[in-house]
Amino acid sequence: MKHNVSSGTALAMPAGPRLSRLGINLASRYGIVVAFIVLCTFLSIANEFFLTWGNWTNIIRQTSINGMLAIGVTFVILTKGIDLSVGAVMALAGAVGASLAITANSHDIVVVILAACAVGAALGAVNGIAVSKLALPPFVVTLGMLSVARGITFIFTDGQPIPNLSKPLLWLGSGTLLGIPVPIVLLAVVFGICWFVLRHTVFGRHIYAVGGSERSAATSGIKVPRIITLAYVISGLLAGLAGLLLTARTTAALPQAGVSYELDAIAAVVIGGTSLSGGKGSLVGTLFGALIIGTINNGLDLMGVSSYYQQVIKGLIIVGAVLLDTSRRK
Amino acid sequence: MKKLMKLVQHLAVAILASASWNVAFAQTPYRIAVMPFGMTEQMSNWTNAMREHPMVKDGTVKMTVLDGKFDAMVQSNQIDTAITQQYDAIIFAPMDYKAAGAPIARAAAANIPVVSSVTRADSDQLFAYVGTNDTDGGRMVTTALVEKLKGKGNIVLVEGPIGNSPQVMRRIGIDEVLKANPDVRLLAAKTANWSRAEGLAVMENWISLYGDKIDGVIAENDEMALGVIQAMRSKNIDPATVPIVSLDGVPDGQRAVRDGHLFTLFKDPKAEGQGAMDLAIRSIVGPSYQPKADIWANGVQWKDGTAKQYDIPWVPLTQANIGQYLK
Repeated sequence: MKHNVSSGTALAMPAGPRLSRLGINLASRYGIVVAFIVLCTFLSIANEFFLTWGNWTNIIRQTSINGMLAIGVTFVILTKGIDLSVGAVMALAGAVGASLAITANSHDIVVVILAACAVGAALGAVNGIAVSKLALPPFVVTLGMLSVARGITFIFTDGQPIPNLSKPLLWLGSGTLLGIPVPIVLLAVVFGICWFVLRHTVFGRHIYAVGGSERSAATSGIKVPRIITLAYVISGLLAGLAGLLLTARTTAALPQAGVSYELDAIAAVVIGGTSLSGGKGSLVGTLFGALIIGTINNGLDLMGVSSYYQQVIKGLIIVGAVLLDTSRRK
Repeated sequence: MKKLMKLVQHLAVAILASASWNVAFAQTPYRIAVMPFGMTEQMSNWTNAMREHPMVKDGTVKMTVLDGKFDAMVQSNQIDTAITQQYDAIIFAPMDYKAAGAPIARAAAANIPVVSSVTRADSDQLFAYVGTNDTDGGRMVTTALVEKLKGKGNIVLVEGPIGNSPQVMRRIGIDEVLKANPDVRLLAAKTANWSRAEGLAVMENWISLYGDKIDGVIAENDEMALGVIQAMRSKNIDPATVPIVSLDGVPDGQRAVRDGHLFTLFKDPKAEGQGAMDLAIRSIVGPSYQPKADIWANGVQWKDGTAKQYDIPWVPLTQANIGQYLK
């Protein structure tokens, strides 16, 4: 049973519209799954290849990068923050990782992965400290970091792509583990760990508490600045890993990689039912949100729908999801 | 529940509505995926030219345009989609030269021929490349500028996104000619990412920095050259007094040629697009296919569709011949 830690303020339920409130609650919990199933049904009717194993492997593999970003961003949004810098952090971490994995003098793949995650985590920590200790608005902080990280990426790479990656790094992008593409395995592992942390650890509960009400959380002894900082560190770390994965899949670290990826990540989180005002949401929702976006990208491409229409549809879905969220909170 | 149903309904309508615009009326034999790296004016003209190809118009070929959104990752994903969808051929304009290698290898492994056009890929598994020779283009414009400057002067160079194949190739040509003309000195080179607005900003900064010392400008494409022209105007420099050369010959660039502000090379999207379509069909049908595009009658050799590279000639545009091109 999904357990929603609700915010401190309880609303008196009006007697009349009780059923519709129940409906909205159901819709917001399971609506995402239903919407996903409906979407898949339509697409499988419209296109003969949609339900094939090959196509589904594509969708999930293509979703793995956005999914990872979205999982990280969920932590931040749960604390009532936002992280606009994940796309740029991806690019920098991917570039740093690639520079350590050029065939001629490549380090151990473990070092490469740790380096990319470390870069991401470090940038996340900067974000987190600025938000929690300096009390700067998350939007502004992460917007600044977006610019700074992108600039550093161009400086670091001198504006050039970094190709000729080592085999182990390329394997991360195009290899398989027991027949399953590595990006999908990575996504599953990341999701598993993060879901457990958010659901079954004290830290996870504290994230929800801080997002619900910072004041109440602080009063009950939670170290709010530390929780907030850690949320941004997680977001940065996962962006770093996603960036390395992107580099591996593209077979070269491109300084302009990941531009605007934060938008799809945030969209996945919002569509998945996590509230932008903090304290409510789940990673399962985020995962389905990312899957819906990935399926839309894939399905509409399959049907030959022009990318302009695809953008309109995506925008409508995001607005629809937020409307659902707002009406639930009323 | 009502709100959910409404949401689902709207979603359904939106998907069906957009699908019905694009699905062809009948099942057709050859399905070809066309993959522009992004929707610039050039790429739009290129895909539109393909839609005008006789075999697309009569329905023998069903083409699907997959917009790469200027992202190598998106293009890699789209090739995977084309493979799953079992397309008969792919026409590919890669965003990044290096990153294109792996997706093309996957398509080749799935026995789907790939024709690249406009931009190049680091791959020896292409069926063919159809497009202007960017290195030649770089050489031609630089030679023209050197002549205008009578072999002596200081120039600046505005570049495309670093790593995008036209930038790489054009730069090679430019550098070759500059090396052979040491009295023409390159003061600065910077990327403006094919964009007019960025070209404007870069040039404004250079004018502040170098002022009168700039004798000429090379811009790797018209859009950036137009930004350069605007920058000069905003600093009260008459663009006609500083020779500017670029490549592509897009309509706004043509207008600048007519006004005496620019020398450029025309890159024919119809030739590239329809030429690529012919080669893609050839890769499906085999040696019996007779190509339909105009270019084969106008100087470019078909070679039975077996050559690996087809260079579409650049056409220099000056005030003398612009009348033939600008409507």
